[in-house]
Amino acid sequence: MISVNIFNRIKDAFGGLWATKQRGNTMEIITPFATTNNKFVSVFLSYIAKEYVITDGGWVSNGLYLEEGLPEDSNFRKALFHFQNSFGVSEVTNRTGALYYYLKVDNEIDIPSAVFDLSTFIQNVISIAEVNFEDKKEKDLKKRFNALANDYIGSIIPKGKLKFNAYLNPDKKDLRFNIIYNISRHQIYLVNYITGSTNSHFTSSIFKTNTLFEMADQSLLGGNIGKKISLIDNTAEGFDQERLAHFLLHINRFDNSKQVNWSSREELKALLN
Amino acid sequence: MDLLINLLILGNHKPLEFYLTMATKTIQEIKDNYDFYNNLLQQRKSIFSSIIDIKEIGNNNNTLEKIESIKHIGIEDPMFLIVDVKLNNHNFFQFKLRYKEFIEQPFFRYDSDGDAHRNKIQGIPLQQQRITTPHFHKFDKNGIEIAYKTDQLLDERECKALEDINLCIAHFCHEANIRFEEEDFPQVVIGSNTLGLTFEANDPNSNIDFI
Repeated sequence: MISVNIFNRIKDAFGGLWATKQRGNTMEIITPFATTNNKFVSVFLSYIAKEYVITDGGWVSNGLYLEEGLPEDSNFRKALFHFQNSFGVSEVTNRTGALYYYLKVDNEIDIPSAVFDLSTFIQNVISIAEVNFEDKKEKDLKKRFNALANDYIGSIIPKGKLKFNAYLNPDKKDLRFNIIYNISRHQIYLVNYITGSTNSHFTSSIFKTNTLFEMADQSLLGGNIGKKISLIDNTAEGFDQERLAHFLLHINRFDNSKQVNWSSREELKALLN
Repeated sequence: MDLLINLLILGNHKPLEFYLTMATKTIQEIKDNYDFYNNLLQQRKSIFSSIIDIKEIGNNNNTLEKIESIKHIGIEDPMFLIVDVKLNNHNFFQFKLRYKEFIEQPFFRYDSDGDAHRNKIQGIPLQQQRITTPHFHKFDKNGIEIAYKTDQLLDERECKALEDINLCIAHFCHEANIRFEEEDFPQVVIGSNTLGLTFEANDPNSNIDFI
């Protein structure tokens, strides 16, 4: 027989994990829920316009739980939407662009339930962001090529005119490019990087750039887009000129579409002027 | 499914511990070179600026960042002290020491605010496994990241005083053995055009329309 005292100690130990910090009119509640990277989940409770609001304080997306922020990976996105729908979590962006996840309740009696749901949501989302859906070799290659290409382009274009890894329309946050270059007040150039550790990753990378360029052309800002440049990592293991030629040709069908191989990157200097 | 099958098949050849260690995110370089890591932390490091002037926006849009070179007494590789301050809350800051030739992530860190960390260690009561901010981060002999509080941080009055970034950078440099010239600590200056609205910004739910 296990003594009921052991159960009581478990209950006390769990219960003892709750803590609070007062932040202006908001109470931070440190919950007993921890993520797989060993971070305790905090939620933030306020009483605003006769409703109780329970938020993540912007911490899920601002790099506090995860140094690199939320992954872009499509598998992760599916999991995020699943948890968001399951717990009915809303989202809103504040004036500085920080994304908040939150729940609202009218009655005090519903607060514990909302705290329970939002904490479970945060715990799951952060833990799943830790899963390596992408294979490591591919991830490292992309990271390395992005860094090299960013450094190179950063060295040939004056600072302040370039945005790295940025959304075409910051309010909509749907189309993201490796480089957005504001060449003048009314014209922007887009640069996207194409690489891959295998032939199939390389092909996917071409498809992605192709779709992004196509959607950018059709967006409200379409008329402002000048050159669309694909920077192709022809030094990558997944690059095979013969097998990829007709896919790459497909991107060329856009007006103002240009392709530059990494090995002849000096060509960018003329293209970006 | 494939992964599960692989685990089951491989499971016959490798002890379970192999998989468990992989799951808890061990930093192998630290586990394998723990003496080196300790020297890295404990031996004298020099900083060459007496003033750390923070005004540039960092990687994250809501953060000001300054990166300063430091030099370890016995290591030639580049090493950096990174100071991050939240744009709208100057009491919310991080100090990080980075040595990329050794490990990718910072090898030592201070968080003035933010999430509580769990030191998942057998034999320590659950409640004591939780280390709230402010706290330091380092790695233990198994290469696992742990958080801890110094005596100063455990003392309520001293901890309150360390909310001041300039008192705190001295405490950090003392803990990490970093000095400017022989015995001095650097000072932090936060760009005057970025005045932090500390009280209001400390409340993360203020000034947002939760529709």
